[in-house]
Amino acid sequence: MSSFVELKNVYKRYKMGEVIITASNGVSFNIEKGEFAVVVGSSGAGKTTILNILGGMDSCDEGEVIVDGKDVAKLSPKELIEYRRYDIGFVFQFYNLVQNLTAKENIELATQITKDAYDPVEVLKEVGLEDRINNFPSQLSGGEQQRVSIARALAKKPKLLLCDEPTGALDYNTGKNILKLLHDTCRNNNMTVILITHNQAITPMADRIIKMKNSKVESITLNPNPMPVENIEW
Amino acid sequence: MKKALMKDLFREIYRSKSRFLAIMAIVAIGSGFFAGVKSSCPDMKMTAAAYYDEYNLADFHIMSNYGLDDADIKAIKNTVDVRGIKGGYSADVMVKNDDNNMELKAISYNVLNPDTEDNINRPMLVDGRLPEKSGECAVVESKLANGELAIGSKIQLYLEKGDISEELKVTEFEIVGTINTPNYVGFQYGNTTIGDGELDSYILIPEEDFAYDVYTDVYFTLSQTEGLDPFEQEYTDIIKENTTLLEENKELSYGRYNSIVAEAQEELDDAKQELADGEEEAAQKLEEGWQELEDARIQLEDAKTQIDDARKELDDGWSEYYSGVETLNNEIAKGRQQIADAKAKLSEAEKEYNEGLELYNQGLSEFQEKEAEALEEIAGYEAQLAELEPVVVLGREELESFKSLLNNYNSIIEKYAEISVTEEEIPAEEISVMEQIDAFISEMMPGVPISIKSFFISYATAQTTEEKQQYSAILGMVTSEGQKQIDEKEAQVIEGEEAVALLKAGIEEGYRQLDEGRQELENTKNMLDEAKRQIDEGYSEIYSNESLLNQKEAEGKAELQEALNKLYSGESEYESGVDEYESGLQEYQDGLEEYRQAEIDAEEELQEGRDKIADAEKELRELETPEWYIFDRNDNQGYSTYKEDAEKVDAIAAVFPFFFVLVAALVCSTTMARMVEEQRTQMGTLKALGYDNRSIVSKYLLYAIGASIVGSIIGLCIGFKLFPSVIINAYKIMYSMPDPMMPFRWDYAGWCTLVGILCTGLSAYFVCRRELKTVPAQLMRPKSPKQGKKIFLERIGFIWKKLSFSRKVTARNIFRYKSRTIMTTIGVAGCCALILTGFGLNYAITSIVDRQFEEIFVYDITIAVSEDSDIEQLQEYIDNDENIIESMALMSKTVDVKKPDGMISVSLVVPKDYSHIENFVTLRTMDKKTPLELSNDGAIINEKLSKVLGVKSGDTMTIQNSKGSSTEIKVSGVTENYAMNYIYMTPEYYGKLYNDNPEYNMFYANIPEGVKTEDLSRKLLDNEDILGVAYSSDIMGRFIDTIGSLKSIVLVLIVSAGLLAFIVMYNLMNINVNERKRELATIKVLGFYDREVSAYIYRENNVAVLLGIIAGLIGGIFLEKFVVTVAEVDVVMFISDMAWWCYVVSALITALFAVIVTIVVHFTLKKIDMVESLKAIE
Repeated sequence: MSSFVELKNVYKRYKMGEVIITASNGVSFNIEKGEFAVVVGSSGAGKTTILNILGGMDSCDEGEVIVDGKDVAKLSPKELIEYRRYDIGFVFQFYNLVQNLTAKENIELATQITKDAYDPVEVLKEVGLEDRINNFPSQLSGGEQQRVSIARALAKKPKLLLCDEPTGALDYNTGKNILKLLHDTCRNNNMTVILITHNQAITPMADRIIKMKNSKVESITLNPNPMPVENIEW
Repeated sequence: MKKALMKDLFREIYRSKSRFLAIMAIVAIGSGFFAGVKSSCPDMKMTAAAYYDEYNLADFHIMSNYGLDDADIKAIKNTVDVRGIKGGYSADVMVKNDDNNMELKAISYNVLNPDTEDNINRPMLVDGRLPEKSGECAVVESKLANGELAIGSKIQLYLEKGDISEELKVTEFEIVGTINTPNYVGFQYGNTTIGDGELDSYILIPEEDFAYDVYTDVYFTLSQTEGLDPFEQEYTDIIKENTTLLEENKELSYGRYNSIVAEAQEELDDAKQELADGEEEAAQKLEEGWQELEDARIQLEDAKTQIDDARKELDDGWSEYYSGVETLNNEIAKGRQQIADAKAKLSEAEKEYNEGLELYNQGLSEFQEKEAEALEEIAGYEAQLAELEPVVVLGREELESFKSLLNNYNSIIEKYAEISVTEEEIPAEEISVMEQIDAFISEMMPGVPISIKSFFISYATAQTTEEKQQYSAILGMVTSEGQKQIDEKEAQVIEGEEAVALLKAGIEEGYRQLDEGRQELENTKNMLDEAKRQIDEGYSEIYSNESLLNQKEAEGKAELQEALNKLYSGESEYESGVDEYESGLQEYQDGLEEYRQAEIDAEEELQEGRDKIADAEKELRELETPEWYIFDRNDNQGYSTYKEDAEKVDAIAAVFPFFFVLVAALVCSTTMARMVEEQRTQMGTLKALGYDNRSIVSKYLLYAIGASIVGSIIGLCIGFKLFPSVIINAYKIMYSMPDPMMPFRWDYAGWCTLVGILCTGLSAYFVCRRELKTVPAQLMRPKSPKQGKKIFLERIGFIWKKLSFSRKVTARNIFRYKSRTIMTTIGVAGCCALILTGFGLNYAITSIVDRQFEEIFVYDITIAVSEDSDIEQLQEYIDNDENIIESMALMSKTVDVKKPDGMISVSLVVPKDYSHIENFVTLRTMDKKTPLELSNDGAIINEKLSKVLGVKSGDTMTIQNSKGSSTEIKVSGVTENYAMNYIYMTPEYYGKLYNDNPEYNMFYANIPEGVKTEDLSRKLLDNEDILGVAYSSDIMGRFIDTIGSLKSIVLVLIVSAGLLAFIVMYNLMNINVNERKRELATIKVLGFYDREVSAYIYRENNVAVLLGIIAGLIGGIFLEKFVVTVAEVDVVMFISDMAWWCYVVSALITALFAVIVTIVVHFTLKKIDMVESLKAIE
């Protein structure tokens, strides 16, 4: 039986003038359903490329990217949009909320295009923002904004939650809270979460740690006893 | 600037080339359009000025009612500072061109005149060559030089009235070239007194071919105007100054007058002397002639006496002859009368006789009818008689014989009563009696066996009485019986005899009566025969009388004939005598007549001489005051309308480019501001690195200025050539000008570039300054995003709740990016307004053609006729043509009307019979279309004229005829009309104004559809009084050509507006997309389809476009009204209201531009990399 997420020999090359840059050099890994996986590596290690490919935002030149039995690498642009639309939830480092929309409306922005979505208000309650429903992003703190961002991702009922440095722009405590939220979501909803970070310190809380270096997977570590976020310090 | 910054600048330009190009394009269009349209007017003027200068257009043109000569030229030279001066000739003549008569102005050309300053109004040769010798001419480039009147062909000049030889020595010319002159740049050549009153063209002919001995025109230029722009105020001032100089110098104009007066006086004196001599000579000659005549008269009188005697004799003979004739005739007549009377009587008698005969015959036939009846009756009686008479006669005989027998018997019996005799003794006669009786008895009573004989014998023989008795008894019995029988028989016979007698009498009577009738008829017949005989006798008598009379007549006549013959011979003798006499008399009378004629002739001649002298004296006394007509260039229609049109273009130019510059400036500044904001991080970094503000700002300034300058240069290079050439070429239809001059105008270029630079540069500078005020650290951090805000719409719960999510987002975004929304709206509104204006103008132009030529001018053709033709006869001629439905005679002539700033030509129309004018021309008010009626106390003028002059119904206005006299007229109505200007008045009102009857020179007529116009023209032109035929459809075509010039300006407007709208929208969309790249990338990551992403952006844009279209349509209405008012020329009135489709099409075209922009932007959106969403906020 194959894994929920499975990357096999993924290559991605960018042409910058005369120079060809290989952003993914034969990346392969598996992630099981309901796992909290962390892809970790320093800047330029190829994490974002992997994230882009997994999130259907970019295509790979070679290899297979199988998510829930579907080879994302082989999808047409339109199918890719549908894949993003129905299968993927994305949490951005800078939240990427539409400034002009309230918290609820930002979630509605996602749910209005999904067939089977959670009620925006319910999701906001779940992420602890029942008091902030009608606030604009600029009226929210960074952590709150990230919660809205997570709520927006979750409201779509995605198969896979991709998080790009969700704590990168947050202070320590807020970051921890966000990580806890993500971890809880993973555990409570049996959601597969892939978190991309350069912060090694986070790794102990993950079920699976994928280390990347020089566009390649350096190591894949399974952590049978993930540590609660509260206990992690960095 | 540091090298790195320079590099950065170029990289920046390269990186953001679409933005750079957009700014460039907007500046290019804005400045190109502005400078191009703005320079059209100066270009037009410049072209004209150069043309005028090169070809020496006269500053002044002087005409005089006495003509002008070299002395006058000298006088002018002494009065003003003349640069070049030329005397010339001109004459209005006619020429046949195809089927039409054209009125031309023939202008002199001095073939020897060198190319000097004095060669005023120098012709510009277009083709061929200029005339070099007598009989050659040059024609106007576009007017005559087509078809028949091409180079190499010959034309014959003529005049309808008057003698052309007074004006021209040569009338046949060969066309050797085509020309233009600066004197006539427009195709209006002015008015004339010949033909239809309007000059159609002019030709240039050698000076020597004119028959005048003085100049008709003097043209000159001033030294002061050399090198001056004729459209500048300075020029106008100089002209005004010199006009005053010329006008004040009254004695100038008396030069020719004085010399004419002196010359005339001398001539007059000579004529008087000649007259006196002539009078004397004539008297003498007449005296001589009279004496000769007197002699002849005496001779004739003698002859006359002789002839009179002969005459008398003859007359006596004649009277005798006539009395003889009369007597004879009387006699004959009398005889004839008698005969006729007799004949009449006879015929009366004959008539009576015939009546009698008729009656007789009638009687005869009646009688014969009765006679037959009577004879039949008589025959019946005779038959009865014939039957009865023998019976009766026989009965009588029998009776008589029986009686005698019985008597015999009785006597026998008695004889024997006493005597007895033996048997033998008895006479045999007695026995025979007895036997007879016995026979009788046996006959009477057969069967009775009695024998009387025996008894008688016995009786007669009986001896005894007794026996006797016995026998007597028996015999007695016979007697009684016999008697009885006899009586019986006798009665019977008598009866029969009576009947016979009766019958006989009847028959007798019948015959008698018949005889009587016959006798009567016979008598009548006899009488008639007698009458007939008498009549015949009468006739024969008459005939004999008649023949006698005839004979008598013949004899008389023969006698008379003889007398007559004698008379005739006498008469002829007399005749020849008379002839002789008469020829003598004739000779005499001829002589007398000759003498009288000579007398009259002499008197006439002398009187003529006297009259001439008197006339000349009178003329001299009444000699017109000499007057000079001084014209400057403003009086030249081509010049002044050209100037007006050029300024009109300038007025249009003022509106549009301003708008273009405004939009361009707004868009450029928005773009620059956006760019600076986008790059604040970089600015912060640079600032942190220690660059001073100036260096940092300079990058953006250079970027902005660079784009502006490049854009300006491109725009100006195109604009300076494109717009003036389109506009000037459009006007080429109306003006003959050399190729336009389109210099690069540094002043406009400078201004445009400066505005472009200021707009982009200042906005860049101010934004930079604002950003740079903050510390670098702040700058390097992303600018706090604009706060999301509730918009007022959200406060209206019931609407907000109903809106779909995406609509809400759109609504929020519109308000969030207010300035951009407003900018888009303005851009689109402007574009839409311009397009609407373009269509509106187009509609205004095209729809007037239909309205003018379908609704206002109902007539189909105009027929120009000679003014001195019999108009009623012509009307009949025209109406009788099978192809003419109806016609209306009218007078149409051109008059001038003074308007606040110059003169305009107006057609004065005086319909002869205006009761059906509506079948030819619609007179109605503009707004309510109420029909107007011509009245005898005012004229109807057209709307445009009323507007130009500022007069309305009830006001008065002044018109001038071609001779310059002014008349004040009252305006009784203002009618709808679009092309040209018209004054309509009744003949009665015209008569009231001018104390003269209108000279009808035109017909309006209607023809059925499908008539072959060529045939109709030819047919009509067969009548020599018909000078030309023009069809409304042709005029309409020419009119469309004329106003077509404005259409190309409109097209330029629409295209430019569209282009601008496109670029503005594209640019704003680009800014929008760039500014929201991250947001768009995010929604892409969220799984929005491409079209959903596009829609996310477009909805805002669509609202702006929609608002823009609405605003543009509303604004366009006013803009169009304004432009129409500005673009109108004096002879055309535009319709300022627009058809609905103008709005629809304008909106659709604007929307189309929006759609095109949308499609282009859609691809930009597709290219947005989702990775953008992962980047940190810059």
